[in-house]
Amino acid sequence: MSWVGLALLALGLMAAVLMGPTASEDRALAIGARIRCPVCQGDSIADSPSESARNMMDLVRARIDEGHSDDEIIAELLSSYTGALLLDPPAAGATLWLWLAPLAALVTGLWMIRRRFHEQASSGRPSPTTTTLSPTPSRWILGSGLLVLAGAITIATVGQFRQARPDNQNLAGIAGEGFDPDAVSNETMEAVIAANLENPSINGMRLALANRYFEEGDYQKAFGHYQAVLDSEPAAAEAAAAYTRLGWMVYDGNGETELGLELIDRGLALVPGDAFALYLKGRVTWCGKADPDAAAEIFDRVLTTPNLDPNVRTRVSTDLESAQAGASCP
Amino acid sequence: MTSVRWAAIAAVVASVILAVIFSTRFGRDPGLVPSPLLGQPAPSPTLPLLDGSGDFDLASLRGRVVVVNFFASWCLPCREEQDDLSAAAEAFAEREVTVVEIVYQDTAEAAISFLQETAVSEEAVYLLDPGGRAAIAYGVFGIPETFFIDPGGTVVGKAIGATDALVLGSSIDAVLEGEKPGQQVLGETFDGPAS
Repeated sequence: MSWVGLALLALGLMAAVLMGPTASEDRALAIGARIRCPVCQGDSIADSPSESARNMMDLVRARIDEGHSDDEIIAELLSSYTGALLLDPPAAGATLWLWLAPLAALVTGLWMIRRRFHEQASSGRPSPTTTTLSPTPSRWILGSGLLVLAGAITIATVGQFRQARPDNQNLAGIAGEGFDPDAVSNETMEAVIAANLENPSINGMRLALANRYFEEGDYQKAFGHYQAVLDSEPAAAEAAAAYTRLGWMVYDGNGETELGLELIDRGLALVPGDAFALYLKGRVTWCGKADPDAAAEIFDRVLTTPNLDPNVRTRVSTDLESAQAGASCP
Repeated sequence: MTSVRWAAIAAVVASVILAVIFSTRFGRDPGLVPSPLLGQPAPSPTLPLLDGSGDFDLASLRGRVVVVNFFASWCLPCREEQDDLSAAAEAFAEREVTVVEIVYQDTAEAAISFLQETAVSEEAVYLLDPGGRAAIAYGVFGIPETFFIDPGGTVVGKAIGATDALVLGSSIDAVLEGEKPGQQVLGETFDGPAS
C-alpha cells in the first residue's frame, strides 16, 4: 500500500472515531430535547442538570447504542410516564387540534379579508386598493371590547393554574426545597441532616432548624448549624442569614460587641439592606456600644424597608423613639 | 349579521374555550396523571441488593402480591411512612405479600442509615437502582411513590405521597381479593382551578 493510501486509511479511521460518537450524541440530544424532565418545570432532559434527567439521557444513549430507533426510545419513556412527558404534544389524536388551530386561524383570517374585499367590490364602492379598510367607530368599540373581554377571561382562568404539589410529595426530591419546617420536629430534621452531611441541598433545612433554635434561645445548637452552613460553600443569602444570627449570638450570648457587629456587617455585605440584619445591628449598637444616636440612624434605615412586616415596624418604631430620646436600651 | 361578524364572534369564543382548556388541562401536575402502568405488566428489572449480597430479580416474585416503594434518606415523607411499610412487610408476609423498597437517587450508605434510624424488616427486600433504570421504568416523578402489583405481575395500584398503615393495609387487602386499588393521591391535591 502506498503512503497516500495509508494516509487516507488513517484519515478514514480518525473520521470514523470522531464522527461516530458525535452523531449518536447529536441523536441523543435531539431526543432529549423532546422529553420533559419529570422533576423540573419545563426543562428538557437534555437541558436539565437534575439526576433524573441525567439518568434518562443515559438511558437514551444506551438505547441508541443498542440500535433502537428514536420512536422506540421515546415510546419506551412514554410507556411509563404518559404523553405528558413530551414537550411538544403529538400532531395526532386528541392533541392534533393544537397544531391545526393556528392554521385554521390563518385560513379564517384570509377568508375574512377576501370576503370583505368581495363585499366592497360587489357593492360598487371604491376599490379597496385605493381606500383603507377602516371600521366604523362602533365596530372598533365592539371589537376592542370583545378582545379585552377575551383577554381578561384568559388571564383570569390561566392564572389559576399555578398549582402546588401536595406537601407530602417531594417532586424535586430535595428535602431542602419547599418543605414546611413547622410540620417537622427538631429531632426529625436533625436525623435528616445527619444522613445528608455531604448534600449541599440540605442547607435549607439546616437554616430552618438553626433559626428555630435561634428563636428558642438555644444558641449552642444554633451555632453548630450556622457554622456548618458557612463551611458548605453556601449561597449568598444563606451565608448572610448565618452571619447575621451568629453576630447576634456572639453579642447576646458572649457579650462580644465588636465581633458581633463584624459578623452582622459580613451578612449585610452579602445582602445589603436586609431589614433583620440592620435591626440586629441597631440593637447591638444601642445596647452593646451604648450609642443610641447611631442606633437611631440604623433603626431609621430599617423603617425605609419596603413591605416591612407590621409587627416588626411597630417594634423598630418603638426602639427608634427610645433611642432618639437617648434612653439606654431596654 | 354578516358572516365576517360571525367569524369574529367565533374567534372570541374559541379564545375563551382555549383559555378554559389551558387552565384546566395543562395546569395539572403531570406527576398526578394516572400512571400508564396501571393494568400493564410490572417492570421487573434485576437490581443489586442494598446489603451488597448479590442481585435480586423482581420477576422471581411472580405469584405473590408485591408492593414496590421508592424511597431515599433525604425524603421527609419517606421517613413518615417507613414504620408502616416495615409493619406491612411483617404483617402480610404469611399472606404471600412482599414489600420491595428501592433506593431512589441516594447512596447505599445513606439509605442503610435511614433504615436503621427508622424501621427495617427482615421480610422486606431492599434494592439499589444504579442509573435510576427501575425508577424510569416505573415512571417515578417524585418520591415517595408506591406501586401495588398483583400475583400475575400486573400493576393494579399506585400511591403518590406518603402511605400509612390504612392505605397500605386496605390496598394490599384489595389486591389479595383480586381488586384493583387504582391510583391514590394522598394528602391535599390540586386537580384544577376550582380546588
